[in-house]
Amino acid sequence: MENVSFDTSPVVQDISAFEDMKTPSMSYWQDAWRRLKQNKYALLSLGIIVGIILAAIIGPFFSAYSYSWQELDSINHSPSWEHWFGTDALGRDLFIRVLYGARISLSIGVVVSLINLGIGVIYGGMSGLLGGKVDRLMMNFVDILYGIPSVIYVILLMVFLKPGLLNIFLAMGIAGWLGMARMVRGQILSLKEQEFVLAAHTIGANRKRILWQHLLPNAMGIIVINLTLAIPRAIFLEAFLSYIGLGVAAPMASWGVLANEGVSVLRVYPYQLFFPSLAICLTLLAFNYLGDGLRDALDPKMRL
Amino acid sequence: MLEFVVKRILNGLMVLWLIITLTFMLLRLMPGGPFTMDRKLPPAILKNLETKYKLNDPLIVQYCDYFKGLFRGDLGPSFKYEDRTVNSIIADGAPVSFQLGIKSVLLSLLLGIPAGVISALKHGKWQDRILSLVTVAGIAIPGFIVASLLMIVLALKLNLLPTAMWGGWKYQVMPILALSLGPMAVITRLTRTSMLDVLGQDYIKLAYAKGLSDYTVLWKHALPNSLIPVVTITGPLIAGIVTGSFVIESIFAIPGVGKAFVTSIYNRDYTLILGMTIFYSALLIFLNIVVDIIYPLLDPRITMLTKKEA
Repeated sequence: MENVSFDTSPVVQDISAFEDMKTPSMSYWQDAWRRLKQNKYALLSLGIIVGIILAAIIGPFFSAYSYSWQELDSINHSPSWEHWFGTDALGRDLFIRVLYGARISLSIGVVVSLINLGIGVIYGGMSGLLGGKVDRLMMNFVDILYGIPSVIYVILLMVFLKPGLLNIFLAMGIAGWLGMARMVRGQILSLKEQEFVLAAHTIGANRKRILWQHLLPNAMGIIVINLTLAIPRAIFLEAFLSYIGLGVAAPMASWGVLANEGVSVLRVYPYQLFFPSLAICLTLLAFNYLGDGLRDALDPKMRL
Repeated sequence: MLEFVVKRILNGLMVLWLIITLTFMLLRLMPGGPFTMDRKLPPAILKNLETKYKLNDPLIVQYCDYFKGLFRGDLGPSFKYEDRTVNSIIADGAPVSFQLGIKSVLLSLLLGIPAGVISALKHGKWQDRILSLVTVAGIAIPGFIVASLLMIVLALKLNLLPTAMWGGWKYQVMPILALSLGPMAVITRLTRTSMLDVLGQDYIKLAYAKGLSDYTVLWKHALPNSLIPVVTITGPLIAGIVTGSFVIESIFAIPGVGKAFVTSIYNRDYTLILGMTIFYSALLIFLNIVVDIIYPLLDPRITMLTKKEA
């Protein structure tokens, strides 16, 4: 027994060697940002989105026109230095209308997604956390609602409510939370069995604290991805609704309304459709690319 | 199996009942009746109209009457078109919409799946990059913009195709393209992801190790397995094409059900809206049930038994 000795020095050397190889420690979000920066398309998209948001907020202050001002002697003018995007059939400057349209379409995208997220997080979080019979009951309810074709359901609500911004928030907000609730519940279910939740339990944290302080922050990555992809979906749906005449009320106009007006004069003045469509496509593409980039950056499965 | 099907159908019927009731109540509770117009009708005529359409009965009686009609397959009269019923409007439009829908589904599958397979096989190469770009564009760009662009280029500038209306194949090219681009993009992306996943599996390596040709591995082993997820989105895919047809049919002035639905919204033709909503909901619910039943048949790993029964 005497000659069995434990020589620990090589092991210590090994550890120090590993320590040298270690990358600098990074938080989850720092790491995600590092990954996102490597994705050129996603960065470009982020730039475009920030640019459009800034233009929508600041732009109208620097313009000589307002979205409802009609110049009756310059009707249907083609794009020129005076009117960058031309004027419409009522002599309104299209550039400023597209900028105001950005305010409306973007705020619809953001507000609707946040309403969906809010309901989804509360409903899905509770369902996942409580588990058992309550969970089964709550998810059965979601399954039943899921069977209702949501676009038709939004159309109906919009027929019932008067066209207007608040009602669009309302109709689309209460129609689109199901997917979000399912997603949050799935995340909570898989997270709540993990050790850190048990640890929180043992030091006496109550359910509410565990949900808000431990479970949701850990599900945040997936939530952010879904939020980024929900925004273009809401803008898309609003454009669709406006297109069939259920959007915001005149003289306000979202991009969908502008595109709809453009289609009616498509044969004669194609530029009136072109600019709103360009704005819609650019925004939707940017959000989709950013969402994809975020998925690559935030999804833990992609981490090596 | 039978139990699953029955359960699924019962669930579908319940959803349908929920939709019918909600829709009925929403439309009856709406401020302003179907005969509220810019020009006021004389009270006597209004009264006659209301009696004709039984709008003065208590709500619950109207509701029961409506259901009695539904059981006979009668969706009621149209308020705006005096001599027409909802049934006849749907019957007129359905063949056209059906043709348009089927062709769009087929086109998106026939182009989407091969595009996804190519994308996966050429993973990271230029073919993949170009297809990814097109895919994101297809997902992001709304159908009505695609439709308008097609109309400007193919019909107005190049004069290759007629701008609108319905007739031979020439009239169908643009609407079908516009309708299927979005779903096609979704299918391409899904097939690509799923194919990449399958190609990384051990049984594919085994197949190559056995000395099977590329062709056999791809067609016999990889493709069938990677198409299973594609079946799951057939339901949402059809729903997308159906709702997309509202706008596309309106743009191209195609006399289908979708155009009639949009017109009924513009006209505030309540009974027509109600009937159309029920028609579309029933259609989508039915298609979803069919997909749910087909799906387990394709993939033996999925059984319809719940845990308790297994």
